[in-house]
Amino acid sequence: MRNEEQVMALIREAAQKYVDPAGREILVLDEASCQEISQRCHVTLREVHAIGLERGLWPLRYVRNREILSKQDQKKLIESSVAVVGSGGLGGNVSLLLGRVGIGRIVLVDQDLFDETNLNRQAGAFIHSLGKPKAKETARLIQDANPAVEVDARQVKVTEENAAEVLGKIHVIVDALDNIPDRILLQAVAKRLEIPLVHGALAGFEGQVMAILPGDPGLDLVYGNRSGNSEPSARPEAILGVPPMTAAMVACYQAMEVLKVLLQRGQLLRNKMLYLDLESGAAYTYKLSGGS
Amino acid sequence: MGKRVRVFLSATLRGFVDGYDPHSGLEVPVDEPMEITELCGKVGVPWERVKIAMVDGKKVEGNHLVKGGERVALFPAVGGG
Repeated sequence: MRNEEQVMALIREAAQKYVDPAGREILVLDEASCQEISQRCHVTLREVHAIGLERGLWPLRYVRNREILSKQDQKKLIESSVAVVGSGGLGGNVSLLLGRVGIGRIVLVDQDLFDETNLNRQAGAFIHSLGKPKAKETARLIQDANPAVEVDARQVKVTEENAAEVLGKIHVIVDALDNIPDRILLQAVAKRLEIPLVHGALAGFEGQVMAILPGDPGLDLVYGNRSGNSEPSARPEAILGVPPMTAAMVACYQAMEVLKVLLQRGQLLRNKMLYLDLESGAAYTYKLSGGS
Repeated sequence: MGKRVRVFLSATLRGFVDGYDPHSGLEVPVDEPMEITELCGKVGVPWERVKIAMVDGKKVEGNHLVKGGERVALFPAVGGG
């Protein structure tokens, strides 16, 4: 790292005492100080945050992530790269959550432009963003919330040919697509690149989530080989719609699976499908492998 | 009272059963062991629309026999986002 000593000196100067809602006193760095150090020392904002955490100082913007995240956890997130493929109902919400929690680098991949039918659920869709690229508009939203995140917006569709370039140096991929063939292609690519994949899908008030590590059967267990009825007009999401509450709910679980993969914490939804039904207020975890 | 299974339907599969209540599901009598495909026919859900069948939380194939007392959940292929 460049100028680490200078950064450290400025961080020590900028450290402030902060009393959290539980009455605990901690040392923090506020956003303005971090930005100033970043500019003066020519290091990125997230590098300032990471150095601060290493020395026991919490960036104020992440202070409400503790204690549930340790300083080491937070630093690990800052040093992580996640690709969110699809910037629609799932992807917009997932991206914002990942940006706010402090993922260091987020690659957004979506070839589409926002239209009026996106306004009900897609986090990046506003009147002023209609007709504009979803990935770029969502990237702007993330950076408004957290300028420490390095966001790379790609207005492309993931293909076998461009996958290694688009998804290179990524630690986790989020499947936030809106159709089964594209999801299966993304899984093949993730498998080939040996990158964990977090799947989420929804129709109506119901959704599903699954974590797929390289080598897992993954979506083969969900979509299988039986053809089912794949006519566009028979797709449940086409018939039942995609309301905002379900998109946000599934996105929350997906973002959490990303954290679990990166931090190696908790129980991954691996070879299992979490099924959520908002209208019934029900959640079940189904075991997909090892059935009769 | 004979043996029964409780069947829960997801997403568009619910539309095949008039008045389906997602909270309580359907209670289906099973006098003899019955394959999942046959159970689907009995409740009026076309098997070709079912992508995943679960019995007591585990994925099964269409020829899996239910004997009574199980919780069955049926899902179409959901891909929206």
